[in-house]
Amino acid sequence: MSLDEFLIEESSEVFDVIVVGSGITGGWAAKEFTERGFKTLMIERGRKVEHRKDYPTEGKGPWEFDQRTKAANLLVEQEYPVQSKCYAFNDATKHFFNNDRDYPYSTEKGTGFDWIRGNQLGGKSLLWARQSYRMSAFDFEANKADGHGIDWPIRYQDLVKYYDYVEKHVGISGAHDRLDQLPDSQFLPPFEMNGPERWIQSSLGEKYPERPMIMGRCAHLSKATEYHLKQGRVSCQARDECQKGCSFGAYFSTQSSTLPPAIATGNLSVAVDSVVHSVIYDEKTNRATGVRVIDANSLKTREYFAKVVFLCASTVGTTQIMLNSKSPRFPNGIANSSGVIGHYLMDHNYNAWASGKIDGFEEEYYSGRRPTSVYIPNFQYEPKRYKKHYVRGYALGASAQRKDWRGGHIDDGIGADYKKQLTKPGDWTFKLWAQGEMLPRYENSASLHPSKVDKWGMPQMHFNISWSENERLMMEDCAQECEQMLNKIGLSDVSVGVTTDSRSPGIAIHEVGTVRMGRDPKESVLNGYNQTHDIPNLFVTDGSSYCSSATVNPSLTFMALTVRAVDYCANEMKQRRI
Amino acid sequence: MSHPLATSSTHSKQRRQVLKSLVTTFCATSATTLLSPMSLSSALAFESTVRDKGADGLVLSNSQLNTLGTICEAIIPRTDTPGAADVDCHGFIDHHLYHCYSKKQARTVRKIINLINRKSKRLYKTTFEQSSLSQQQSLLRNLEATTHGFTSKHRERFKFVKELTLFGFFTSESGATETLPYQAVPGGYKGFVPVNKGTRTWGSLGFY
Repeated sequence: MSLDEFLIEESSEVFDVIVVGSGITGGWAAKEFTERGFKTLMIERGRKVEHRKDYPTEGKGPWEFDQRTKAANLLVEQEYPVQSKCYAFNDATKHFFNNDRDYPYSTEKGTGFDWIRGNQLGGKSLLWARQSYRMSAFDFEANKADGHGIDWPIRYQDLVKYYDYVEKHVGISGAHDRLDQLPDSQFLPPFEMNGPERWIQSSLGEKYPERPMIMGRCAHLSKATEYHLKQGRVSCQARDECQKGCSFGAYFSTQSSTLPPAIATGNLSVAVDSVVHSVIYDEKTNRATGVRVIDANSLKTREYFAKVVFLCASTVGTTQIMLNSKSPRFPNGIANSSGVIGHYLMDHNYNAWASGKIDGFEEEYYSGRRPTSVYIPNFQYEPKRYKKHYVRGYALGASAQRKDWRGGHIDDGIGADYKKQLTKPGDWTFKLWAQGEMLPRYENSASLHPSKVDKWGMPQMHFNISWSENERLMMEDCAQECEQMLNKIGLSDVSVGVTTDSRSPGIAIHEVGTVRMGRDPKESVLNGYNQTHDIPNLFVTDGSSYCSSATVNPSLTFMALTVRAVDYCANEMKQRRI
Repeated sequence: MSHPLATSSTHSKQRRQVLKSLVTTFCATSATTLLSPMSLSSALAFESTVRDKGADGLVLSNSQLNTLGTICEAIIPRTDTPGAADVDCHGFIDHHLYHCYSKKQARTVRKIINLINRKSKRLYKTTFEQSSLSQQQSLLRNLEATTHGFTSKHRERFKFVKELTLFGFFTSESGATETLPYQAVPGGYKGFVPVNKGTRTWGSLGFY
């Protein structure tokens, strides 16, 4: 069955469920509802992207791009001034990033927010870094333990069965590390460490037994099972060009993994090029009855109707829609009786790094391009492990690589011998980079601009967010700790950097927290099942529902939260409470 | 799962066929094509053959381009594999400077090219292009070593030209696939492979 058969434009049908968004959470919500027999409409603001067919740059060598995959100045300046700050943005991937010219937003004077977006069917699931870690029992208790932010209304145990479930479907590669601070997933085999990484693992293990270094866990089919082959997915070929799209379906995306089973049920409809303007609310019944949509191309307005609405439009996307859904009952945005929608915006803090040269291992090299790295989980994961001068902690990504011709101009040399030298594997270097937790703070916010609108007539987003003293101190400490770690294990030429002042929040693309869960409807929007306190048939399951950022990459957790919310909602619908 | 074809180092021209056969093997039911018709066309890519050899470039004059070609070839000469001039590295650099660098950076490249030419005329009584390969390489070595009147500012400008040369050469089809081994589809990651006399770094990176 092809996707085209399920695309709709105008429709007066009352669907069982509308899912707004087609990224990681939208894909999961659609899969789970359709597999339970619910007629589901998935709405995507961007264009259609079909698996395999719409990956135009896949398999191309660098010489096939005008600037060898670099983006030209004019293109960056005029169309991608923000998106080009993302590490994954280049001439070979730009078509999966939004064109900044069409998506303006503003930031409060003296602050910055880099809003990276992929507005197309599949959303950022096509672009994500694929690192997949469970949040731990400590993460769900952190706010309560140290008093920053409100307590999560759920605990790790509430999510275990849903983590198990999504992991089997997604395919998570990783090793059984048995760590309290980072629970194991349902794993496919881990990617291999290279020689220096194994050596560093054991050296660090001796000197820092509380800071174990493990293989990074990622949503790649390191070894596809029969189950994955049936999804039409095969093992990862280690091309590490994932953001061009992967016809092997080796990494998890909506296209490779959640859309095919949803389509197979026959219960899915998809509306692309449909910018959701607002949720339609019926005050008499206190229900969301559908959504109002602006056609991305014709700019005409249309409406879709359903018994339940799931907002999976990304943290800021969902926030924008909710704040723009105004009614006499909810003058400040739908389900916003608490007034907290848009506040407590968080990102991860990636603003410290360290690197050093590894002596030896000249006889060792690697083959293939590993799509993941090694990882040191947060070792300051409970108050008694905090540093004295700040709270919470950071995880560290890491990898060891041999130098190639890049940077070879620094070496002196001319002629045939120099050419030969450039082809030889050079020194090994090891690099660590921080992934710090950011605290939830009321003043860090995303709001609707009072007057500016975009080309669809949607109020533009306005951000006011900055790093607090806690985040600054953490990154300074992290750089010092990393420097010490690398020196202690005997690396040479150790250098470190802190970039808190030069890099704004947003660029980690882990924005969360603006429609948070909580027990008290006065200070939160959602209950423990991602259902709005105010309106029983309105759910939000993307990153906006987070009470804290933790240090781990958020995607795996919002997959589990989405399935749990669907499970709950489906049961409520059966019991006719929704 | 490893397919025999997937582990071999593959030249780009065979690549699509390899990808196609892999997909038809493993995803026979769902995959029709791996690559869209768009990717078969490299119409937008820089084509060295298009440039008129006698014409000015985008930021370099024709004579500067020719000097640059000689500089590139002196840095990365033709050996058992093609050299920088063979892949029109200088033509690419002109194009790349125009699109991806600032006007100021293009100016520094013009300055160092002109200096190299002037220096050659003074030392060897001939243009850089016309001087012998050993004279060319000796001049550039002196430039890198900041001897014979070359300053650290000159060296810095030359290092930039060298950086562009390396980039232009190793991201060219020949540089990436002939001078270096190219794995379009590595077939998996191995954390250890032994290094022997013939081991070269991988030419295949997805993005730069």
